[in-house]
Amino acid sequence: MKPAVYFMDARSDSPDTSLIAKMLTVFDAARLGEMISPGDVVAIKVHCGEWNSSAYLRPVYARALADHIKELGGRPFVCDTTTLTYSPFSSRATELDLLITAERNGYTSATLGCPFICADGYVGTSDYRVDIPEGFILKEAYIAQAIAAADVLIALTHFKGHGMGVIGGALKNLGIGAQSKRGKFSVHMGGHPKYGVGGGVKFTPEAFKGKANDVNWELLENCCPYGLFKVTADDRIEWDRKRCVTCLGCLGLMNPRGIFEPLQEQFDATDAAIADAALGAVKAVGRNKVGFINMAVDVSPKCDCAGFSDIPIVPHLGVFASKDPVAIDQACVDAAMRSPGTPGSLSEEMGVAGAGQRKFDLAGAAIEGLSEQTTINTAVVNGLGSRDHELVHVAKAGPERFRFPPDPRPTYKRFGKLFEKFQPFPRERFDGQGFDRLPEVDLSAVKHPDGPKVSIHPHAPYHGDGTQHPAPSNGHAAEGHRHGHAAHSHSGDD
Amino acid sequence: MPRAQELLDQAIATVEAASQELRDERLVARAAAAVGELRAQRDKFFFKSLVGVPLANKAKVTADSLMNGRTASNLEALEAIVAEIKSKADAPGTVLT
Ligand code: SF4
Repeated sequence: MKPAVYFMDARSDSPDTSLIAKMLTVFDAARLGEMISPGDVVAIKVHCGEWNSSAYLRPVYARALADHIKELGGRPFVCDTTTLTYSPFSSRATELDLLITAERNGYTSATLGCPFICADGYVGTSDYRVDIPEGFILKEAYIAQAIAAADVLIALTHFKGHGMGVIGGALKNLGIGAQSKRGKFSVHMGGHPKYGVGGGVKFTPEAFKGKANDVNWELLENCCPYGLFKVTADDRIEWDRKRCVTCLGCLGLMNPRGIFEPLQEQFDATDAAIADAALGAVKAVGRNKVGFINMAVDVSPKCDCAGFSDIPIVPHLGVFASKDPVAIDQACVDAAMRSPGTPGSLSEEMGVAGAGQRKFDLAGAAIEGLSEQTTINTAVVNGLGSRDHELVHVAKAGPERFRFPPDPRPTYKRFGKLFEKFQPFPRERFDGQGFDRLPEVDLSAVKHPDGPKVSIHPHAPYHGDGTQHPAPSNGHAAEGHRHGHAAHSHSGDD
Repeated sequence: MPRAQELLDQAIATVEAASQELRDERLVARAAAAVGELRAQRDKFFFKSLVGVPLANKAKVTADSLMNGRTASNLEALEAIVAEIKSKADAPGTVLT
């Protein structure tokens, strides 16, 4: 039987079609709540966003899900993990940095109504090792301890593109996001003799132009957490490549200088390994204890791990839920392919904006030759899930379900007594009208696309171009103003 | 060949063809300078990765415009793209972007 992917589109015109409501509706339709028994600890794995990224999921989604899990008797926590030092100036590579970044991005225990946890400890070595003999390339995975310790895991994923992974979906949320730091080293092929940066990258030291011609040469020595680069007194760059662990922190400096030539196989191998590592995460928690929600909104071309967010390459695609991480990612990739690209976005600049065109191979990937299917296909091979799926359109759940929970009573019952005691409307003023306003104005005069069709008020302090309007020297301007603004003037209106 | 380099090569060839029809010597010199700049940038990582595709594509589009209308304003548009390429082609990025 094909796995089901439960889907609601991204249009919204009522409280029960808000994206938050839809997330909860597809969660219920996919019966993910049935995995939770009273007292179960439930990990909600999110991507909290890099410093200055802005397309990551708004924390309210995790909050709403955590509240719902509490209603079901679970004990939720929301989590992310430390990263490798992907660049010289990373913002989430330790628990301290991760929590500071998450807090700035809105992910705090206060906003989430449950703890926000760095799941793999201060440095990222708090983990749980899992054997994955079924793996296509990895044979073990290191799962962040707090995730492995949970009774239930919900991967709440922002579906988008990714420079290395090509897509950032449910598989990557677990295959990278649920791995500890050492798990991430393995997935990125750290120490691998063929696919690792140290093992395979073409090193061209002659491309270094010398200290005098490279104002940032000191950064070349300081970009590596293991200090593997040295600029010598005679202006050569040396690299102790045998000790490289493939943290990727130097590539953004070495590639543009021509000192490194990126290794496509390293990207491909990592994309395959993501699927194996995701399998490891599922095995660590339990096959029937992991659920997936993909929010395919703000589909930025690069990941939330970049310190910026570009225009989405396609419009919001919708909200998906499934028990199969492969099916749910394939459903999102299919939806992106069916969709036209966003005008002015990278999908247009890459020439893949047409409905029916694959979007992420060019608009997601950092280098040519990668595939949006590599991780998905590998996850079929290792038995994690199925590309084939049934897309089930879910009906909205009705407005009653999504009323303001702290006080669901209608207005008079909530505010009648309050407004009597603390009258917010000054009925005693202006014959019961409450406020000082003109009886009628020419509203059409301020609707014109070229600007207002009445003169600027003589007392207006600014013109809008930064200059100050002089006070009228006689009564004519004020007269003109009144004529222009008010169809019927009355005394005392100015 | 990487997609961005291919687009850039097409742009360079188009500008060279267009410049043969230019009557004003000053415009010919400016077109040659633009071609020289594009050649200088071509082998950088920027154009070996996908990051350079949008600007390579813009260079090609503006080169096509120059071919269709050999005017100073079309040459200015090309020069603006060349300037943007020069400002971005050496910028450090991350491997993920
Ligand atoms: S040399 Fe290896 S370990 Fe050092 S920064 Fe580069 S990728 Fe990371």
